[in-house]
Amino acid sequence: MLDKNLYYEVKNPSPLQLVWQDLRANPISTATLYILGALLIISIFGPLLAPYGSNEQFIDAVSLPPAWSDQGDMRFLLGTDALGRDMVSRLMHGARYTFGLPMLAVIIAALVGCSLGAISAVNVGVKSSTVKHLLDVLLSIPSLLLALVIIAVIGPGLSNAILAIALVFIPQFLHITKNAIADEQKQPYVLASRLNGVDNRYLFFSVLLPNIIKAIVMHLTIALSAAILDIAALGFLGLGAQAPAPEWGAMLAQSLEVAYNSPWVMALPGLALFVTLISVNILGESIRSALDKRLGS
Amino acid sequence: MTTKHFLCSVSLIVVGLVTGCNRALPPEAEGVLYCAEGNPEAFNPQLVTSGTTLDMTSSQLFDRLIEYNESSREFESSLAEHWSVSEDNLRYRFKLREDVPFHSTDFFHPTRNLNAQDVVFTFNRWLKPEHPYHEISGGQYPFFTATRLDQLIREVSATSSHEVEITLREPDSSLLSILASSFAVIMSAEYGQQLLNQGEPQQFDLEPIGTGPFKFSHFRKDVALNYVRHDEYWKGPAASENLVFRIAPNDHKRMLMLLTQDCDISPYPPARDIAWLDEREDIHLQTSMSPNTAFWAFNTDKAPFNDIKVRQALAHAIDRDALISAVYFDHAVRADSILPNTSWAHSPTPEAFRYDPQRARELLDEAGYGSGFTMDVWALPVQRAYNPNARLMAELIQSNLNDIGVNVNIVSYEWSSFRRSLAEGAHDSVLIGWSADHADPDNFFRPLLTCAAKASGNNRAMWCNEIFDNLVTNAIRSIDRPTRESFYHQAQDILAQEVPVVPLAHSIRFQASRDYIQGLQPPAYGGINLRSVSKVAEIERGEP
Amino acid sequence: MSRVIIRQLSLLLITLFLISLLSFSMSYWFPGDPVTNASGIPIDHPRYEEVFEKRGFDSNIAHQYISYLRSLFEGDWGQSMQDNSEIWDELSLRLPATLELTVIALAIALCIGPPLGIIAAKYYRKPIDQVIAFISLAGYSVPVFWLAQVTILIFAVVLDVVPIAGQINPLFDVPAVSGSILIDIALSDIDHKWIAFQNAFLHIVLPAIVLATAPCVLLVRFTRASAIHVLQQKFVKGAYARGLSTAEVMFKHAIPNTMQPVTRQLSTAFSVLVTNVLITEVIFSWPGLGNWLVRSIYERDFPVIQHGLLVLASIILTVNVFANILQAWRYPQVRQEFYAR
Repeated sequence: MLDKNLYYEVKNPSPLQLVWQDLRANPISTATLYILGALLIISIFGPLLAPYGSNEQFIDAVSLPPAWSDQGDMRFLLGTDALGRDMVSRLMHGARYTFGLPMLAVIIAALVGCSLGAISAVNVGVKSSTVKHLLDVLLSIPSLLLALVIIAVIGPGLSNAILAIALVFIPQFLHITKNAIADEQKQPYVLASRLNGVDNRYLFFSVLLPNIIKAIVMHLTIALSAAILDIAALGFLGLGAQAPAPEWGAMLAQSLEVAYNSPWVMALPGLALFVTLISVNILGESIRSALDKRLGS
Repeated sequence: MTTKHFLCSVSLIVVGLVTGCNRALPPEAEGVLYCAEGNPEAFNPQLVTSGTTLDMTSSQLFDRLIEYNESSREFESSLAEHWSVSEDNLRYRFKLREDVPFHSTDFFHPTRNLNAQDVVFTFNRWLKPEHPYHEISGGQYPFFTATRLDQLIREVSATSSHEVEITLREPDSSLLSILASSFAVIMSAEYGQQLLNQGEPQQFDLEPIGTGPFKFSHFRKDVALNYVRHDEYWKGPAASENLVFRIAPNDHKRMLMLLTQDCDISPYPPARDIAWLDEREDIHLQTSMSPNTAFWAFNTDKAPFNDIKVRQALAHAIDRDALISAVYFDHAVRADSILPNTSWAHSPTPEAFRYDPQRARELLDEAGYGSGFTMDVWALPVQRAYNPNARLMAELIQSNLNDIGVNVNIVSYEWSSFRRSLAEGAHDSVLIGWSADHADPDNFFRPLLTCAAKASGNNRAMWCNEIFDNLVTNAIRSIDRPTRESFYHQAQDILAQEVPVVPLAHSIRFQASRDYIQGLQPPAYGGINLRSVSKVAEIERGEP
Repeated sequence: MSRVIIRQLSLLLITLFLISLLSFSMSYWFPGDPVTNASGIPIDHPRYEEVFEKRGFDSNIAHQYISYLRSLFEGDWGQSMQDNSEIWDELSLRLPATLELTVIALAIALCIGPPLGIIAAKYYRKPIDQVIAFISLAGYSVPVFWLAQVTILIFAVVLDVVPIAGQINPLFDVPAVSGSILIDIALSDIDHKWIAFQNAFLHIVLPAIVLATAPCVLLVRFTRASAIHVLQQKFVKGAYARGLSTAEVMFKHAIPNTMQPVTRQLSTAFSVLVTNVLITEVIFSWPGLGNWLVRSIYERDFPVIQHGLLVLASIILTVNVFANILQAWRYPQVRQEFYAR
């Protein structure tokens, strides 16, 4: 076959590829990537992978401790709860509620929020700093409180909680995109492109977008971590997922009844939540430092 | 190094502060902490039905005319020294004690002891609509309406300064039981008059005055209700200086609070915790066979539950022994009649409620529901002595009924709206129960299953049967026990035939307390009495 | 400076107006009758007609909003649909309890967070920095409701050093005057105030520490990042070159410059605190606003939800604006930014 590339060319990886290489070079962030990848797979295929159903009760195996303790049973690696349900299966089914759904909500919120932000920034143009400061102040209201407002109106429940979370994050993404674009538009390189006579479409997608991606990606991980925490908190308070759904926050709330006698029932969902959150946070942290290094601040 | 020093000193300060503070109480704060399951609805037992409110008010703040002694099964004198019944069983005379003082508090200073006026005032409040207090706090007196005492009593009058006469319209053998119940407490007419003069009659049920062993001190919703000792109590002062009811609606939280000594006494420990609580040295468990019944009531106003065959089929479809082991952890006995097995009129009909899914399917076929149907089961959202976990019970019933082709939706609301909707008859069927208010068997029939109870919104089966009503009324009109017994046996046979409710279990009531609590009695009828309860003195207890 | 203050205060007024508008419209969004949702008076109540008129429901929407504002300022906040208690009375006891817990937790976070952050930056990439960085990341990732349960299990149930519920042992005859337990003890006339303070301290220490965790690690992270940046600046090197001691460089030059971006993040820390106080109060049975609000959402007690959210949001907004003012007052370069020319 003839090599089409006739001339010797230095292949410059794009900035985002460089960031990816940086991430892979760091063992801790690689580990979090694997963890999150596994979580994603479990979220999608969890019900197929789990050994038992999430609400399958084993009358002969009630409140069994994890398998490595003396009273444990190899059938149930992490033990069973007070109703004889396998903890491994419940956690795996729960990943969908606690990790998958918030992720979906954040992605949707990001898509909607960023497009709206871009449209308003390009079309309206930000002249008034008062509006910016006003939004700054209004967005200081924590997401859980806003989600509570929405749930208060539409009522408790898992789907309502997801909807509330998605709605709450839209204005954040909108605000961030809009601010980032407004900041970038003042830069000389944008002016240079304009003077080159590019059309608005090219200006936005090829000139502005690569430069605001950093702010969006950084906020994406922050929002994901907050969304996971909020969904779990709502489940814990009985306002999100309802029993017997194996959502981790709701599982934690239910486990309180037996916390004294079977502490693993309480420890495991909390631990799962902790590992998920710390992975998301470390990944966010690594992406940020890699971006800082590659794209400059 | 400075860092290390800094961290060390911070942690030392924190540890020092925590261990340096001790939890010992100063002498004036000694007392007993009772963890209650909810806020009291009112400080007046006349207005309420909930056992929680009764526990917190009745025997603590007030006294009754007479009391029922469970061991001898006889009535005893209390505020009334003695009493007599006229020949025609229509007039009861009560001679009152003369040495009974009311509480003296910041908001009320009594000028006289209890006399006949107080009894007349208290009874007329629910008896006579023209009474100045009748409409205060809602004007509902559910216990007296359900027992039809307001229909039964013609008049309450003072025949002398310390003698009261109650005249009935017709003979009723349950009157003494009702007067001995926790609802029939005596209040102060003088306090009522004082509040009327001040123009604040609603305070009467918020800042109560009674003759009981404890006085009202203050109440903060969702936190605690504080009582102090009534030093002039006529039976002698209570054993403890202070009595505090902490509001702790979560049962697991109550258990943890018992372990951390945030509670001294905790009622209704959850069934799942009984076994390990029993093993602990520092916790005492007390039990009593309290006269209560958990039952499953069908709304007989609605199709298909207006069909006897359907009700019989559903009764045969559920495995009550399995319910008892799963829900009560075997801390209950199977109920084969609505009337508890401790009652003298108990007549079990186990055949009517036998677990027999085959028979159930046949009955459904006969009723024309061979292909099944969908129904709601309402599950009590709170735990009660008679049912620790109605939700779980509903889930088990759901799977039982699934076997005979009946689909079940489980419904549960927050407690107050749950009760409101039940009274309106919005349910298909409900898992609920009843704890006896007084010792008479009548208490399980008239307040629960008569047409009058349906009218007052307490008949969960919405069931009204004339023959049954007649039997129950005849039973109450006769005085001698064998006659009454035969009426009650016939009534129970009708229930077995008609199945408006399926009796499920009579629970064993548990009560947990710390080992340093003494003088605590397991309660049976109505509210608990905490007069003789106290902590063992600090010295004897050793290290706190 | 006065321009910044006026600008920020007018910003606060506008946002509060928006929030009140939101709260007002919630009566319409909730299912059921708007008059009942706003006041808690059911339709069949004898006072319904009176409330209907008082709240301007016989007139247009603008009039209704004005009536709503008037009721707010008169303290007529309606009553709970669950137990008919006056919301204003209940709130005035519960809000101080919540603020007490929040302020103590914030104080703990402020005392521990920034110093740890500066220490970590000082020993950047040394083991002590890595330990602090890891703890702060872990603390940031641990859900507060789990942390609360685990600490309860360890410190209260197993070790039995602290109680688990409420503000104080209710056997202490401390009447609820303000709602904040420490103030109430000081105001009360009980004999053994010192013992009562100790008891209250034991009750507050665990929830306050649990609550302080999240804002504390947040401050550690902000401070560390900012201090690392500052310590790399040339003026720090210059200060060392002039022969100043480490302590002098740190306290006179590095720390004041570090704290500027950290001050900006104080309101973020406060928002996190308010989110967590809702949950912490539920777990520790703290008789505060959060506990009440969560239960009222569950019970669909609309007047309580409406006013509880209004109060919480207003507090956050106010704190945010005052943090801005504080920052502008303390740092002239920030003031320039706020002039926004």
